[in-house]
Amino acid sequence: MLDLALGAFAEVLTPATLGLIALGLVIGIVIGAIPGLNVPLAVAIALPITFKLSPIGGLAMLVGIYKGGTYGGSISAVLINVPGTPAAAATALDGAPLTRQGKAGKALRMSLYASIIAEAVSDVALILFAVPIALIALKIGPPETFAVGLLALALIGVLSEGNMLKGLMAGALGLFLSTFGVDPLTGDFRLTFGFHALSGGWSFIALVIGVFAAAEALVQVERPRAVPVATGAVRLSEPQHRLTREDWRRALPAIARSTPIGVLIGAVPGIGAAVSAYLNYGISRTLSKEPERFGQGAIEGVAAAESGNNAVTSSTFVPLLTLGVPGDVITAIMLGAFLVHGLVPGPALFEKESAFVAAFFAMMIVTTLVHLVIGRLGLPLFVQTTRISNKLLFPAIMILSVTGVFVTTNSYFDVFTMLGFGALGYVMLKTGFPIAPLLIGFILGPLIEVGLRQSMIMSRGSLDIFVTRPIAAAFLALAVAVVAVVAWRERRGGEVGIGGKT
Amino acid sequence: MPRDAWVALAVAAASAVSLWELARAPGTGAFVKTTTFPTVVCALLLALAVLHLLGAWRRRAAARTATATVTGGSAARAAALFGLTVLYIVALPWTGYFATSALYFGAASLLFGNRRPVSILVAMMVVPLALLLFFEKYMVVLLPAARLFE
Repeated sequence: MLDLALGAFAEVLTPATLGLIALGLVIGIVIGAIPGLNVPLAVAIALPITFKLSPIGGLAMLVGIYKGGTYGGSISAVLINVPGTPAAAATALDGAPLTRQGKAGKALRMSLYASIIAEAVSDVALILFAVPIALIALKIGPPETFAVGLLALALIGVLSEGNMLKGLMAGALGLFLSTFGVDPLTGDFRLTFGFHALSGGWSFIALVIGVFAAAEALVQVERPRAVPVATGAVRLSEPQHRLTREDWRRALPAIARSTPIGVLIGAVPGIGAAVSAYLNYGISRTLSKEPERFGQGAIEGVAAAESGNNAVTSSTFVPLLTLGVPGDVITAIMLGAFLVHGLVPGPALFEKESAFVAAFFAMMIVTTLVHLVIGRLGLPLFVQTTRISNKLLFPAIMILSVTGVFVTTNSYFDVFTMLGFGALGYVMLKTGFPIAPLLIGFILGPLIEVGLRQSMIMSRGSLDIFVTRPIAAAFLALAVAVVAVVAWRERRGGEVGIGGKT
Repeated sequence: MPRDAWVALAVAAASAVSLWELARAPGTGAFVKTTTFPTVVCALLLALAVLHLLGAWRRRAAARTATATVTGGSAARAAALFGLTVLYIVALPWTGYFATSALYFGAASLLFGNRRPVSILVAMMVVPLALLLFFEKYMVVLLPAARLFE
């Protein structure tokens, strides 16, 4: 066993593999930070390059892109309130207010450290508990997925406290928008109004970029005399950019709670990092003694969202390695890298290719450590973004938004849609409608609908299936508890909703 | 009527039209039909919008002062940026990525209050060129070419 581990680390700790990990991380962070460019796209583009490399070297580069990209989305979310990835939208809720308060370094540091802690725990969970986690994940069927979706949906209420009706309307609008286009189960078209371009539904990337980036630009253009957050060189050593003991006291419980939840969510195929980020953000707010701090620059909000987001990065490999089933688009693409090298993921991989599996596990750990180093080295550079004037920053963001959507979808319709969602986000901001529930509704819509309909088919139309399956029943009970907490807080009437751009 | 009530009115109208569209669609599928979930969500959205409208009607004086979370500035500038961006997207396939983006950057920067010609000119060249090189050379994704000059 020790020989296997030593051999694995010896294979990974070579200059070539370390270089590929670093290259993958840098590419991933850059791609992740650019709105519109997504990690699956970067992994897909890099995939053919890895065919010529050793199995571990190639996978190291892809894993680097994946981990770096998942973290990179938070950089633009914190600095310019434009999430680079959908999951980072939850980080923007408290990261962007911290930047506006002149504490960008604090938010970036917490984002990095929470991500690294979550990744490390996720790595360990993958190595030590891959099989038990896979067995739990196998028990998550449509009823459980539906129940998780409802639990996350109940958190819309949490995010809307003090502004309940508007929050619920935004959430229902998000759910409604997710139902356009082709039906995921039967392939029938619905709500297309005879318009062919709508047959694929609304583009999620256009929605995220529109309601965040374009809406922010439309709001900022009204303030031509606004000055940058920082006017001189920003030094991370300044007190406002450092994490204090009080910050860690607030953040650690959130990280400790969000990470295991994120690990489990990552192991379940089809749920994903965005649900994990929002779910954990909502849970942290629900359990907080000072929920009114959330949305105003709560460091624990950044910690919960980021640890929830990054905790999925290693556990998504659980179904792939143990069952040979890719849990999301990224692992599906990576399956290609395994197969090209003659490695067939599944139970047999652990028996026949134990040296490779050990090297893969070692590579995951080393990637997390290199991620910490590269992320930390990048912080002084990233934080300088706060010095850029709106007069240059937002025109560039608008061009980037248009380019990002075009590159991802290759459709002018989706580019116009992005702008339309920008106008929607602008109107919502102007009239006090929170944006987070809209996104949550859009993400959860397919999860809930498909879960419900598949469950009904499984039970031949009986709703009993949701109470007779213990995991589903537990999630539904939690959802009811969340609704009860929100109702109690609303009744108490002392809470303040998270305002502005939520 | 408060501004948020106008939003609720628009949402109610859109929900009503969508409900009509869903009612016309033939629902297929076992136990829960294709149109069931969208219909339920749409009805919920309509109910919430109507509730909001009723609340706004009752408390319209208070709502007028309480709802604007983003204040100041002129909506005309936002409308101008929106219109400029529409023009940008329309022009992209005709005048190509680089030229259109450069012109858009200059105009948008002026709209954001930039009055430094050197800074505008430099950024007009650097930003689109950097993006063009990044996407076409590194990402191997083709950006719109100028159809007018082909």
